[in-house]
Amino acid sequence: MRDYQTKTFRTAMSWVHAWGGLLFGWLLFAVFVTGSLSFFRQEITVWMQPEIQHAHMTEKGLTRALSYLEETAPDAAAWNIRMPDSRYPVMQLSYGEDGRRFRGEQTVMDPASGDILQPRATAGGDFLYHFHYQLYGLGRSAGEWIVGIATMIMFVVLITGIIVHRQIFKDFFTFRPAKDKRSWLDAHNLSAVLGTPFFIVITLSGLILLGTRVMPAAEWGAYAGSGSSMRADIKGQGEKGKSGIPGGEGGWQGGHDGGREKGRMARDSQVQGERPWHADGGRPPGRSGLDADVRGGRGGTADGGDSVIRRPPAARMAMVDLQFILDQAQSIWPLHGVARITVRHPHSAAAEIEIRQSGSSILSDRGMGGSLVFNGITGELQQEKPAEKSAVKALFSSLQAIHLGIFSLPLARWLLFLSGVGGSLMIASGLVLWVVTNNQKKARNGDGKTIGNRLVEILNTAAIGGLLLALTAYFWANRLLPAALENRQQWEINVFFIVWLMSLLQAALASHKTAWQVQLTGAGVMAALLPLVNALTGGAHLGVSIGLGQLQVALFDLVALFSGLALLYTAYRVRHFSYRSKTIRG
Amino acid sequence: MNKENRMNIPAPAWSRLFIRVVLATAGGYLLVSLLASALGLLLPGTDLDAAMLSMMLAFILQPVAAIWVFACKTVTKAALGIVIPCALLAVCVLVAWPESVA
Repeated sequence: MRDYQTKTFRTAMSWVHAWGGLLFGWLLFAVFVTGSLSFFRQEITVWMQPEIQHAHMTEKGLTRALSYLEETAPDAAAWNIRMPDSRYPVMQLSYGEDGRRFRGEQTVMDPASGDILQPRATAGGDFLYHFHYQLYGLGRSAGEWIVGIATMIMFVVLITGIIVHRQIFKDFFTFRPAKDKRSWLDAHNLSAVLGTPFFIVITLSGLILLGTRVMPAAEWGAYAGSGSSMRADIKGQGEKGKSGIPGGEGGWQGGHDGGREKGRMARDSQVQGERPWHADGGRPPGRSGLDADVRGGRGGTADGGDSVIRRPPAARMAMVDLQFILDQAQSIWPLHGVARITVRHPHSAAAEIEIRQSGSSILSDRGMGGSLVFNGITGELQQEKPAEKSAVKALFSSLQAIHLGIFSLPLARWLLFLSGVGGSLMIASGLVLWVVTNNQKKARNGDGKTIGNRLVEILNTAAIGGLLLALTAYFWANRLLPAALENRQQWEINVFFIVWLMSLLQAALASHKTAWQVQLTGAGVMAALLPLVNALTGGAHLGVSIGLGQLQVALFDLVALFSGLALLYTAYRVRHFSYRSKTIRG
Repeated sequence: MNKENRMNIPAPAWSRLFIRVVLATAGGYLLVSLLASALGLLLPGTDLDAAMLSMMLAFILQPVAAIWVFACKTVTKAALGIVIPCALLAVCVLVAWPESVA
């Protein structure tokens, strides 16, 4: 494209912007698209489980859930109830033996009917979410390093882009459609300038989320000579990991557990420290076996637990009315409500009920919300433990919260999603601009295409058109693969990658223009038909979903339809695209 | 360099460009890592605060280092701008590192 030269500051920066953007744009586009979809990770999972789309909330749900747990697991050490909300419409029930780990099955209950639902296994929104920062099949560490490096390059490309762009405010109001290169440049500038504040925040906060992985030096210095670690300290201050994800990692995501594998030791010690019967020394009768297990047998406590401790029937005490506790919690958190209820040691003297808030408007809490612990017998509210916060920590946590989009107002999530779409458009138009500029220059100089140019064309098509095609195929596979297929979620992912690979192949074999047309048309048709597929394969179609107040399903359908039409329009424009103008910006 | 025609300036030797790329990526990363370590050691407050603050500063300064490398007129100047701060910070880190570990 252009040679590197240091004649002026701007030409040097322009080189960095173009090459950094090109080499990492392909990966960054995939990260941006899947990352934007991750803002609606739960909603996507609901769409991909048509079995739960007809559920809706009633007051009786809690009673039903409780009686189910009483019947199914009367002797469990803890029960966990995840309440339905506007993002995930069903109750998820689980129980465990040691009160901390719920590795077993989640039971899904329709709160309205009390029916136990059998949602299909799906990779769901979680696949997209994990892909956007770990990629796939590379292992956690390698994937996070690759995305981390790409993010650092993204930051450089953003800053150099701003430097290169001298008319940043003028171009805000400039769009000249259908003028070939000029239009691509305008599209690139418009999406970039509009979203610049968002892109800087999302890039920086993404880096911070990967920080302990990709910038370990900060931790080495600060923690030199201290036995602790950054992660343990973050956990130790009462801050929770990314919990609140139903149908997620399959683990229990209760109050003291971020659903993460790492930092478990730190978390365990914290959990024990907070257990009331350790603090006051009083042990409930007949529970010494479990207690010893919790306290000392951590090494031997296998997931799922092999020793079921049965309490003598005499120890069963009447529990406080859960609805009463819930009402209390609701009145403390009128805006966000209750996400999760954990009952520990039901019907014993040590019974306690932990209620977790479904979100928080306080960004420095990472939007996680608080938790309340009640005595399970008397219903008395036990002490809350507010975490100490410094200004640095508040800033750090707020940035993470913005990136995760876990403050619960839907409007904010939609703005983040739209900004993410803008970012994807910026990257895509930048990549296309590279090819268009190059081809114009080549045509003007009378040069033929080089292998490098052709490679960029192929990768552009496969990275943009191919990814979108693979994504729509992923959603189709979700509905077309038999619901009882073994290893089903793996097959959804396989379809995604197979289609993506086929796109690369097609882009290499067909002409540049044909490849774009085929892939955009394919993705457009398949996306636009998704609402129909949903209706025909057991999902709640638009009429039903809107009627039930299941807006997450309805909006998925509408966004798919709209994106499909937009892709078809783009394909139509590609068909009529030609290099008419020979003028380029000097 | 040919100053007559801006569009046809001959590309600098690939080796010099390669050095710049290495300086901007690996060099820049080393620089901000050393900076983060040094700040982590020297900043007051809790370990966690120091780690978070130095990490955020490292990420913000990383593009600055990369821009420096590509903005310099000569590769030598670009290299010195990375190597000298690296050396100074390395000395800081070695001096400030607690003896119990080192």
